[in-house]
Amino acid sequence: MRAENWNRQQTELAGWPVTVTAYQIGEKYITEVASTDSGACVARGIAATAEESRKGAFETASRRLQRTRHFDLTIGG
Amino acid sequence: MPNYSNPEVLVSIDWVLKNLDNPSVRLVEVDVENTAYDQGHIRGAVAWSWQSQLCDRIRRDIIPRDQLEKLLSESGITPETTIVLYGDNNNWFAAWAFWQLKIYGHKDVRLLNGGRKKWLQEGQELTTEVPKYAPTQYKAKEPDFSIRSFLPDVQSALKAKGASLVDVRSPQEFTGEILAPPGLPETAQRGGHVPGARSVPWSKAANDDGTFKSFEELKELYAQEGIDGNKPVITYCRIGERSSHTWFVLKYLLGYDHVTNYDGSWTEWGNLVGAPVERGAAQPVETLVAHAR
Repeated sequence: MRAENWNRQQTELAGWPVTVTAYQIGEKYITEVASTDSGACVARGIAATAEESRKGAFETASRRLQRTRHFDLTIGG
Repeated sequence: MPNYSNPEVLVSIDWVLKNLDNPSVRLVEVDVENTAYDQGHIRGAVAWSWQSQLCDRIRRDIIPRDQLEKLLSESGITPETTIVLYGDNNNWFAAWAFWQLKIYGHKDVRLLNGGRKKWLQEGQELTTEVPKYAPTQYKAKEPDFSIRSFLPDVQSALKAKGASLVDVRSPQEFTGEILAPPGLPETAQRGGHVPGARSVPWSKAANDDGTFKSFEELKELYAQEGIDGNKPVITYCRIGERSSHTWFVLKYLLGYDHVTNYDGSWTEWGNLVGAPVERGAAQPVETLVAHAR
């Protein structure tokens, strides 16, 4: 068994640039969402179809990314 | 792996394919946790979870010697075994494991160049079969902390300007605009960087496929920030795993002598009472040189 249909694309999610990597291993479809600037994996979706896998990864990633706070560097504290 | 100062610490996919049945080689997939491994891994590889097996999460420390001995023994590893590490997240956690194995004196540790990403991208064979190896009685050496910086080391270096600090986080983490990689838990009270640190995100050392850039490219990358091996270097990030990646580059691929990983990293420094913090972009290298005169 091998990773098949491996592909990677850049997009934006919850206002953050993300790198989405999708592939299939055996009967499982896997989608990984990483924040592009840091390279950190934010969420991984594993499902029986590519669509479900993407949906699961995007939902989790969106929820987590929305929690990220921006700080105004001109204000102390 | 031509040109690198210690080319033997990196292996290629071809090398792994030729050594899949070599009993003196043990492949280890190191991830945050084992989900990716469970979906498919290189034949013969055992799994190490960074979260549950390589960290003492109570003490916030590397695992103690007896736990490392247990892990290596259960993985069928002896002090003579060639350990080849690879993992997801661009080999960050594999690099952490490399650093920790070196602290405990394992002689022959290597990284699979490109890690899990390149293996998958190339469509190399995977299995879900978990291998079983006869347990050993591994005895580790006393920890060698000459490759690890603790908080007092960083404070001393800052005061004496005795080392170059390399912050390998993303530019937004460096400036203080965000406290952690987007989507990940914030582990510090405030943002910014250690004063005087140079910003060289870990990703600049890697190609798109996760392999390391060439010796010449790496040398130029760090030299642009005044890091040329003539002064000790301390790497840090948020929790010490991304900085293990850069520590590996500086110590082994460029061959700089005095390179340490400050695994306390921003999670420690960013929570300290009274510690100096800089925000915003780094000062130009020329400014730092002028101040030092």
